[in-house]
Amino acid sequence: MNISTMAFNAAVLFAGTLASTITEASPFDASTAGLLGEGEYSVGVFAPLTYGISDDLQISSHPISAFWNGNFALKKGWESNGDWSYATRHGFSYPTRLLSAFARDGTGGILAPDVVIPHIVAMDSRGLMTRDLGDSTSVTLGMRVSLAMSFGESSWDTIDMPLVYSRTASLHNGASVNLSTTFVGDFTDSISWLSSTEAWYLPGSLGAWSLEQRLAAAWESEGGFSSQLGTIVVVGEYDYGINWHILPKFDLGWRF
Amino acid sequence: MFKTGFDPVEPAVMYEAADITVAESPEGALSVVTYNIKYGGARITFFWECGERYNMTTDEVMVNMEGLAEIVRTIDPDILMLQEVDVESNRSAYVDQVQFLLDNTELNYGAYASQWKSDYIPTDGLGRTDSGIATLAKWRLVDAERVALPLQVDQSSLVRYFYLKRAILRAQVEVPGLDNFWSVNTHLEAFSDDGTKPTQIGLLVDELMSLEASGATFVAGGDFNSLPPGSEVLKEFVDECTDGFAGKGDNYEGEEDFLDGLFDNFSSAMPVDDYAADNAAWFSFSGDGLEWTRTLDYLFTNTSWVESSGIVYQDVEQGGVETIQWSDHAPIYGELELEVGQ
Repeated sequence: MNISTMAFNAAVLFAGTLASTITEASPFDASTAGLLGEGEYSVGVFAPLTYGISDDLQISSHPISAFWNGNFALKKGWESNGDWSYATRHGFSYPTRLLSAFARDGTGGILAPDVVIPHIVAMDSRGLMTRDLGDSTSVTLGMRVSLAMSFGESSWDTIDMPLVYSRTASLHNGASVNLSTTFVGDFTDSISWLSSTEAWYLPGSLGAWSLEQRLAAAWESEGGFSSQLGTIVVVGEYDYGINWHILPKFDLGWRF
Repeated sequence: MFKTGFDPVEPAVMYEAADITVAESPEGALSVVTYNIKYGGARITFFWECGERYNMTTDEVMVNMEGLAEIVRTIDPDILMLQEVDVESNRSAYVDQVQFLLDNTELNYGAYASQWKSDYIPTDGLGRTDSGIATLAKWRLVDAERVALPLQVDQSSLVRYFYLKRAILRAQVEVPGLDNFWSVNTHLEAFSDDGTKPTQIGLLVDELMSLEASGATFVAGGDFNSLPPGSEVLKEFVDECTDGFAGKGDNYEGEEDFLDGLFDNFSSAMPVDDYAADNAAWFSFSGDGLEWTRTLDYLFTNTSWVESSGIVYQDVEQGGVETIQWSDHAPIYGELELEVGQ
């Protein structure tokens, strides 16, 4: 069998690009209602390239997968109400080319080459509300709805892989819903932490739910470089039944 | 991360039929079959055998499993040893084939040992895979264990991580009136050039010797991926596939004595003299589905076979049932002689 180190890399990249394109897992403030300042940029290995158009509007796209997975997202900050600040994020993507790229024989064949990938237009909208809990800790409540429309013949397997299954379920069945609670805090001026719990509801899928718990720490230099390391525990239902995984979480990011 | 490993020895996964059929005590003989069922793929030609298909639909798997179940019902063995049986694999639509065969035959109990398990195999669209060997019987199986066999050493560590991991499945079968009777089932390495296959055969012989030394009687069977002594054709088979799984055709030159340890020490359901007289009557594998071309599957015991009971169920003329459309292997049958008083 033609398996090489590329197989593992391909799997990680696939999961990473799909996951981070949608979740903006890094830097941590992308998981909150916070936005970049006007004229600021941020980018990560897995996190999207983000630009602050104004203090309450930013645009992002994942540079690595943009060719295969045309995507962009707008994040809009809304007027604060008391202790809470609010933002909504609206993303659009065309994942057909990315999925087709992974439908291949041999190494990296996450999907079999004889599948038929339809034209898919996907939309991902989320609402985020954040409030401070003391000087250095905040909590963010989030709700996310993913919708997708397919055009043309469709015959492709579910991708029964942690993180990917939940994020591709809407591409099969039209919709998914995610609720999240995220705590972010500071250990020191340069080291911060994140604890995030996400619950997915995947209507129409044989595996109808997934729970994700992230724990991570990040170090950020004064120059805007950051690195983060952590873990993701995933428990969920797949086409074959319930399974759990412990996955590494890492990224490098730059803000300028 | 993908949970692909096994312990050196670990308990087998145990099964029961949804409805238990009361099995009578065997009289005079115990019928045994070994059958590589190609994970319910029947004669779909997959990418690893020079075909174009990858994963099956649920409907395809169910039709093929019903065909296999019909064969098992026709033969009606007391003990059935299966190879290439999927229990939770994306390629076979997650149909639990052990449970299907238990629920659709007269067999009641099963023990399963995986030989290929991964939460995800990121190649050829395989995805989640759990495939292995299983022993099904009319009577309870106890002390069933998966005994790991050595892995190929001529692969990179990453390939080895995702690759098949061969094993022996041993289980005591509680046949009424037959004490300390064991079944030993295996599917040995197919494509190694690094000495793994003879090493695995040697460990199988050791396992059987150990059982015999403990006073046990046994039946051992499976797909040994080796030709018997006396084979007239060793390479360039008419159904050769050189673009498939291993990227080469089957060539058994230099392997002529691999099975000597088994034939020398134990009794084969296929008498070696009978095989030498007529190779084709004992062929149990067919690459292209047109004709049986070689013998890869065996039954051995340390007791004795009912004379002339051994047969390969090839077709209506030999066995009374057409089997070539349901797997690339044929079922091998034998009847163990039960001594009076056992």
